[in-house]
Amino acid sequence: MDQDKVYYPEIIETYALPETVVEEETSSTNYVGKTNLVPTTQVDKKFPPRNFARETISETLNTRTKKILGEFTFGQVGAIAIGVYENGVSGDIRITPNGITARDINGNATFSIDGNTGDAVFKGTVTAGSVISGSIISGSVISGEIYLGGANNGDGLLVVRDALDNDIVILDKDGITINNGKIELNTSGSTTIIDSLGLISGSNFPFAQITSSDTGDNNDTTNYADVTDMTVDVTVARTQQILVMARFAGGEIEGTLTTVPYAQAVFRLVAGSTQLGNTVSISSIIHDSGTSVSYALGEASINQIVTLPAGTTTIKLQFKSSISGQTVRVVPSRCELIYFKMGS
Amino acid sequence: MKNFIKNTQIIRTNDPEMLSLIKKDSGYKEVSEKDYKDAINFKSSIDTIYTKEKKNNELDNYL
Repeated sequence: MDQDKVYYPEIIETYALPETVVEEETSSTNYVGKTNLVPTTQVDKKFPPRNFARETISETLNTRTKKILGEFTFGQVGAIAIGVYENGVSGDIRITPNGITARDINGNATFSIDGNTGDAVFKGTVTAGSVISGSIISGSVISGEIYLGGANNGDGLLVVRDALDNDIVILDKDGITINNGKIELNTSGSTTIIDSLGLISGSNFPFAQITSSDTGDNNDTTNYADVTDMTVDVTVARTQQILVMARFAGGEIEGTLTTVPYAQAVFRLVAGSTQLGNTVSISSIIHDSGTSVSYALGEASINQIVTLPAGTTTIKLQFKSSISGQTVRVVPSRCELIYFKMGS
Repeated sequence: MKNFIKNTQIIRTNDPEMLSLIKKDSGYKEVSEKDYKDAINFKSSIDTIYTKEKKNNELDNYL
């Protein structure tokens, strides 16, 4: 069973307040029928000494620990000055409702933040993990990566203007547009320029020109033989178009004289095992020196643009006789096989 | 741009892949621009140029 609580009266003792002036009781004597009042006397009573608070400790401010514990609000003209500017000695920082400014020891403003407009100016380098900006106006921007546009940001756009505010280079989702400008590609010892007039390059596209002056013999009217030294391996790193040209100029066809008073050789170009375009026939004109018969050679050429797969393809010039029983040996003054890679 | 001769063949090329293939073939001999033009215009036979270049190379090796 619970025991009843016992309550005791709170005893408040009497303490004298510090520095309290104790008034002396007035004394009265002979009060019978006549009151004799005697004034109280205080001789050389000193004023209490002044006490100065060395520390302020409250719920919002603790000067002992140098901590602000609550929120404070500046008055209309409130401000904080950190440090004292002294030319050549020290700078300062000032915080006011209008913003924050800082000066170095030479009095130059090193940064400022305008509290009214939100404008900020920093003299030094600003480093950030990321920057999200509506627009950037800067003397220079140095960044590891810059992304323009994207999810929730729409299409990216980069515009380079000249001093007259004309848009010169526009980089957007559709590509690169250059107004009255050019693209210049510089490599060691070579420059390629692309502008509205075309392309100028000091770096020629790869080519090879193979020249020979003898085909070798062939009397076969069905099977082609390789023209001597007119075989070339062409290597491309990726699927690529090349221009292949073969040309025969001057010279003569030597051959055994048959029943027909002329000679004829047929040429073709092949890439791998595929014939490129049509064959060409070179007819001859009889030349009888009295001791031998030769046939003066005309001139012909084969020009083809061919798409080569990545890798190496053997391109060769071949020939055969077109007259049964006649062995032909073409000895042109110049036999050329040229390839030109249309790009590199 | 480089010029080479081999047998009856004269090659003029700037193609890196072609140059790589030529480098692997010891039969090709690099010749000067003048020798190339002499050969292409039949002012000198390929054999003559080849022999001259061979002697030059031998002299270079000797020196």
